[in-house]
Amino acid sequence: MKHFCFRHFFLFAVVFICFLPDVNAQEKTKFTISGYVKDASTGEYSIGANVYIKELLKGANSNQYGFYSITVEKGTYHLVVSYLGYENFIKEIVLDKDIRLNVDMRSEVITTQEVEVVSEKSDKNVSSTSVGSVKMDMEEIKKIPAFMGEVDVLKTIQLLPGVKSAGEGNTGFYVRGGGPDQNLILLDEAVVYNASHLLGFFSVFNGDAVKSITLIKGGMPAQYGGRLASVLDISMKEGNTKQYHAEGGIGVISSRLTVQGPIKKDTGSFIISGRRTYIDVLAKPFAKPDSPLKNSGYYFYDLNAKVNYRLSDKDRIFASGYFGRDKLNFEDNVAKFNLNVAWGNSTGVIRWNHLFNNKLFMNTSAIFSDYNFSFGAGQSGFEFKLYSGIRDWNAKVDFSYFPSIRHEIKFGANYIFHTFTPTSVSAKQGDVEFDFGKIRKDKAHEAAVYLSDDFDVSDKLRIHAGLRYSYFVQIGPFDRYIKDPINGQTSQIIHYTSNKKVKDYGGFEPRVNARYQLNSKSSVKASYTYNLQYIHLASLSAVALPTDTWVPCSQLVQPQKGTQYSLGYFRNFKENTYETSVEIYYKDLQNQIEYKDGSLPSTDINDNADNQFIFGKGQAYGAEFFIKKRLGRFNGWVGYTLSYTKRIFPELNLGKEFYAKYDRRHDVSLLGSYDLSKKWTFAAVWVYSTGNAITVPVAYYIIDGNFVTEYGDRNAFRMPAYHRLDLSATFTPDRNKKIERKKQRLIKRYQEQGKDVSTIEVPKKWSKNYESSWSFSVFNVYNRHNPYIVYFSNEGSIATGDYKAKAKQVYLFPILPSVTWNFKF
Amino acid sequence: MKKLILCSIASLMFLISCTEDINLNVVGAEKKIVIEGSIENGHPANVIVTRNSPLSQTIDVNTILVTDAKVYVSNGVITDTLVLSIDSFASFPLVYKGSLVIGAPQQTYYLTVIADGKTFTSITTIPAPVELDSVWWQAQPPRDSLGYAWAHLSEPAGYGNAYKWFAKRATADRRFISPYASSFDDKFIDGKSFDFAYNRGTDPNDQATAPPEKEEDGFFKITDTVYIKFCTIDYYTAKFYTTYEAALQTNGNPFSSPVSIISNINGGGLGVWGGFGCSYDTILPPQ
Repeated sequence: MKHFCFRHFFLFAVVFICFLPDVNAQEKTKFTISGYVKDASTGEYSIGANVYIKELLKGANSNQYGFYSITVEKGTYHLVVSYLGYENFIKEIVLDKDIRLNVDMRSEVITTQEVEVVSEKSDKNVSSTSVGSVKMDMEEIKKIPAFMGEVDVLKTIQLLPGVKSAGEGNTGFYVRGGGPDQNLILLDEAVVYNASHLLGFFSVFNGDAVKSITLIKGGMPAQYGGRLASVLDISMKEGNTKQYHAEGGIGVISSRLTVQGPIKKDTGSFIISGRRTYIDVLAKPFAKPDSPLKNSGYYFYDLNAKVNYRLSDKDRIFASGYFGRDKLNFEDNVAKFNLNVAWGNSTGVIRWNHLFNNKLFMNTSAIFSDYNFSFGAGQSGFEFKLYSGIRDWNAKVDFSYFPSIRHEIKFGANYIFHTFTPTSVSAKQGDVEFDFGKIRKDKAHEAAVYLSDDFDVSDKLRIHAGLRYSYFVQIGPFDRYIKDPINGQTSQIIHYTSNKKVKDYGGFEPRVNARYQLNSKSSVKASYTYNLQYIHLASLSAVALPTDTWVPCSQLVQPQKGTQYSLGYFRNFKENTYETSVEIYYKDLQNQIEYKDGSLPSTDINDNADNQFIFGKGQAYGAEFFIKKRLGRFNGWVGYTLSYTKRIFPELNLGKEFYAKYDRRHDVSLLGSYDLSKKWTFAAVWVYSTGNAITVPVAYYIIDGNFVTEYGDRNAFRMPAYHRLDLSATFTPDRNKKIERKKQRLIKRYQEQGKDVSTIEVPKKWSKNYESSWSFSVFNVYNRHNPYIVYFSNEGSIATGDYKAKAKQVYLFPILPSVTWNFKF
Repeated sequence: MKKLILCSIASLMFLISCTEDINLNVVGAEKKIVIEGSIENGHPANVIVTRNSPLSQTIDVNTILVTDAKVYVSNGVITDTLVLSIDSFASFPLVYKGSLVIGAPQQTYYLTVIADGKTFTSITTIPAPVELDSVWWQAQPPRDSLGYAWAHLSEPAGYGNAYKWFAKRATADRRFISPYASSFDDKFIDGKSFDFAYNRGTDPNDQATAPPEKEEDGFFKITDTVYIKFCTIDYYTAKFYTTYEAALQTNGNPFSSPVSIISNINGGGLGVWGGFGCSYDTILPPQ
């Protein structure tokens, strides 16, 4: 089946490309206008700019590389390009031949003083076929109050309806009832397996290096696959092709610096961005000389880099990478105990954009992704090391074909070579090495082909139809541990040699989105998506942690299957100033995994982790309400989600259905920012969500003199609700006023000295392009003690007759003010 | 081992966290019988029968005591009817004690308990004892008079063995006490010859009335005479004790899923019926 599909796909692609000129030749009455949409000041390509023919009220969006293509009948039209935060571009075009038109978009901020802005606001959320898709720009995100001054992409998307945080101190996020492993997180197309630093308090995405964020929580297009719940597609900035710039920030616990500029003006550019926390450095001077803290600490750092170069009008190459690490070390020289924990992601991407003709765009990528976790500890001659991780080598090719204004066709292929290191351990006491087995590397191939078309059926009905075929095969070397069902011991080990097939899976993944435009202001959208996911995240912990390990599908573990139906009503008000939507969804999940009751962490060593798994299914459904004010000095949104997320495992909870730990009945987020003046911007965020579903003890019993707890139904209890208010104020000094004040002082000095003021020369450095701002924020303004965990401790004694359990909660952050100085020049 | 990792990450979290009391109304506990039975080579069976107690209530000893149970132990030939006795040296002072059936290595024993109108059964086997090669006391730096009990074990080749460690100070402890993680199997040590150490466990009953001095907590003194009891246990007994010890450890640990203790009692009861193949050693203070 695999060979059939791939052979036919490539045959199809070759035929498609070869015959395109003929297709053009046949359509003599139709001509194409195409090109790239860019930011005029930086040369950065604009993703998702709305390009349309005013007379036809039809058009297209620029793709991830800023490319657009529109083919219409011969004629004279007005081409309009709109992009949030930019002056609309309008140009009359006489389309009697194919036209290449690159559009430079000018920022509204720059142009409002001199040029009249033609304001035609986008109605994309109403007119597009995408359902459950949100695109955000970093400028929008930067206005939101940030925890300890660090602008955070993941924290921001968790304010959207349908997207939930697991709470402070948890990595990952949850989309429409899916687990954290069911989100496809892409940074410049490379998969990021753990997107959090410091257990979820910061994301790995440095705001200064990020250009745009697209979150797809339903109706996933066919070019994306391998995950059930969502796609978070993050594009890094390409770097300024016009001039050199540096920007950064100095905060209470971390600082960052970004440098960008042209390699060759208007042809190529680079950007490099770094960030590091320094809690460890700041804490050390306060530690006593004999304190373990003297040699201990925690920090994280990350580095983003990207270069791009235009080889010709049709070819462009990009190379980008990310490297980040969290490091925790502890050294007690008195107790002779040491501990080192490190985890992090690395990615590397090389891409080649090629324009075959004005209708066919291709991107080819070679991608490397790696996530690993390591732990080492030693005491009294005992040494212990643990390592786990996942590494991918990925090659993909994606085509965008724009045959007419009614169609946008995408097709492509993707191949990934996975190497999983589920959990490898070594330990020794003195010279004796314990047998934790050899370091395991589970290997697998994953591949997919897809085809999709976004097309108009009529003026009101537009359909996005896609089909993806995916295939996964686990290969050797691999040892399968067969367990004796009576005594649980390994009864047989089956060895698979290198590259020998262990188990394979495959299947078609159809997706359909439909939009029916009720009028220019409102539409109804529906979607159906079926996805397969061949990798699982296994967690023994009650919360998502970097220790969670990725495991492949195997003989025992079937692919996760997800089917999602969603229906939405979208309406804009006041010339698209306000966007509103109501979406309902239902999701069915099959082949979900959990560890067996009573599984202990060591049980996947010298064994297959999947021998400890049990399998079940889940369902999620809910309704999402969203009101957003896009434009004006005051903007923000209100989101509310009502949702239910359930799981059923025959071997858990006596086979009874239970709520997933991240089930939230109610989830509210309010976000607003107000530009009081050019100097001051204020913002506020308030969030509320129903407490996590947890399993709590219901009874005590005595064993060996100890009271142990007997647990009640799984996740049958709710932690107290989570809610929090954050405020921020950003002060941006008016540089022109400052220069003017300096100039006045200079004039005064000249006058006092009797000099001719007309001979004043303003120093050049005064007028240099330099900006700075102060960001003040207060996290958790009303000091809410939001529960991080709830546990029970025992008080009193049996002898005195007052032995009783007492519930306690641990909370992490009280009210936390912070200040960050940001600069740009 | 992963617990250590979780604990170290937990320590990072707790550097920045605060704890406070909250009011939670936990309901839903079903009344259950708890059985803690053992039979050791050379000794008759001991069985403690109690009830669980709802978390929402203060524990009342009178409600958890079961004094009218019928307890039988059989080796397949002889059936012993156990008699309720007071034993101030046991972990719980009321113990059903046997006399006719004496534990022997490689023998299987059947337990029947009738209590609260229900019948509970279980089976266990006493594995062949494995003796430690040697035992000794070793100071734990930087201390020079406090340390751990060390032992050398030559683990017999062949997977499937499991062990439980107990220790008792000659003068200070009423009974043999297991420290945390005292149960282990030979998954990683099969056929190995190696040194290992245990800290001193604490008797929860002693702890309730007379908390130990902090400095000595978890250590043996250089002057202590320490008796070591090292037992082999079968698969299901090991499963119970490893999950029991994990449950003790995870109680209140935010990073762990709740651990359900895997019981080998049939009929809806909680607890364990375990066979112990034990050998004994003594650590004497240096002369």
